Amino acid sequence: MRGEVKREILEVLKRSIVLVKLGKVGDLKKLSDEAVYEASIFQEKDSVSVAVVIYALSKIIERGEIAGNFIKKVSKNLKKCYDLLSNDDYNRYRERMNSIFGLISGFDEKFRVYVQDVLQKSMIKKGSMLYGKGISMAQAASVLNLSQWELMDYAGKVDMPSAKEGVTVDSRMKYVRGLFDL
Amino acid sequence: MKSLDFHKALIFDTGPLISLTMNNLLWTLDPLKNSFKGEFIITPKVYKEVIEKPLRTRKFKFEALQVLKYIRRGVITVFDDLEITNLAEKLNDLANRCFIARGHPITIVHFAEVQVVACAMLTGAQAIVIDERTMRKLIEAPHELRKLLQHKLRTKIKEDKRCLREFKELVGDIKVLRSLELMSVAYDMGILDQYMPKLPDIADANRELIESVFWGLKLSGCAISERDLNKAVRVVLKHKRTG
Repeated sequence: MRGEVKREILEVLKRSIVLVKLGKVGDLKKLSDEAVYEASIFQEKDSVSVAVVIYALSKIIERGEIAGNFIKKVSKNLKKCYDLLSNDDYNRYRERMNSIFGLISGFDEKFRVYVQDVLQKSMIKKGSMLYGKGISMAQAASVLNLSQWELMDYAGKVDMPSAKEGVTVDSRMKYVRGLFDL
Repeated sequence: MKSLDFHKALIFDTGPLISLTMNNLLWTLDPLKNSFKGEFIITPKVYKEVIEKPLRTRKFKFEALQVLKYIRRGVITVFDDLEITNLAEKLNDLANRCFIARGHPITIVHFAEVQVVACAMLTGAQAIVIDERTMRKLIEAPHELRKLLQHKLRTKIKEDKRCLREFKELVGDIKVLRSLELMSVAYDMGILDQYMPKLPDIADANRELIESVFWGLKLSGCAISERDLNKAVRVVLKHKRTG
């Protein structure tokens, strides 16, 4: 893991521990968006995973049916992730990060399907954000381990920033008509 | 997969096939190909993304089968050649070293997208058909792409001028089309007339039809700004009137 990526993830984890305890859904979502900036530049799976996990947690907490001791357990696990990463124990850090959702499923059976859905949607949303930052569709899909079918379906409905075109509408249309003898 | 010589070809990326399928417009490839009198080509990587991946899941499986039908019928051909892969590796390396953030090159495009470009270069294809924005910008307006990256990543982006120059020299004047431009041709040819709404004013009906097709494609991932989409509608309608 690059040093810069590690520092950024540690910062995100530190802030997320507090925000999860306080149930600050809006701030968690913003924190997740910030994590995507790093993910866009370095595209390391660890950055992406953190962004996805934080966003998914925000959606789950937003649902409002989570018991208090669940919040304590998640916070504890995030703290553990922080400690492991601080000590450069990358493998155990990743295991612990993955186990956060195992924790949710184990806590309440009915959440399992919901959590899987939330996680998938979080990945698609973050993939769309990567695309929005200028990373290509296929590359964004690859980083999030998504199919382009899923990502295009979502990204097309999100308002994407446009940059100045190198070829005008007129000339592209003229060219394509020429190809078909129209 | 066959190795073919063809005098006229369009090389498709994954995106346009997805956009067309999601809008029930895949069938237009048949009459379009007849009119084009050439080949519609995809690379093995595109085949893997469009067909193989969704066939292993439940979601988009039927959509993949729809595309597969057109491959089986020969409307779309999968083309593979070692030279294409070799060239794609070179292009991929260049493309993903063009822009630097905080001393690190940013990976902006995927090998599969680069392979589409390489295929077009080696086959002398008339254009690549790609709906996503980044590869198109890299080919047509790399400085604009740098500005976009800089703005959206909120960090200074430097260009590796040597890589950009080499990439540009290699790809040359390759033309880029989207599913939207192909559907403008379909509209011009009257292929879409069966969808014409019944409105008192024929001009309104034409506008409704072409706008709905273009918006359908845009909402399915074809990268075009609203401003350019409206312009495209005007261009198409004007051509229809003056034809």
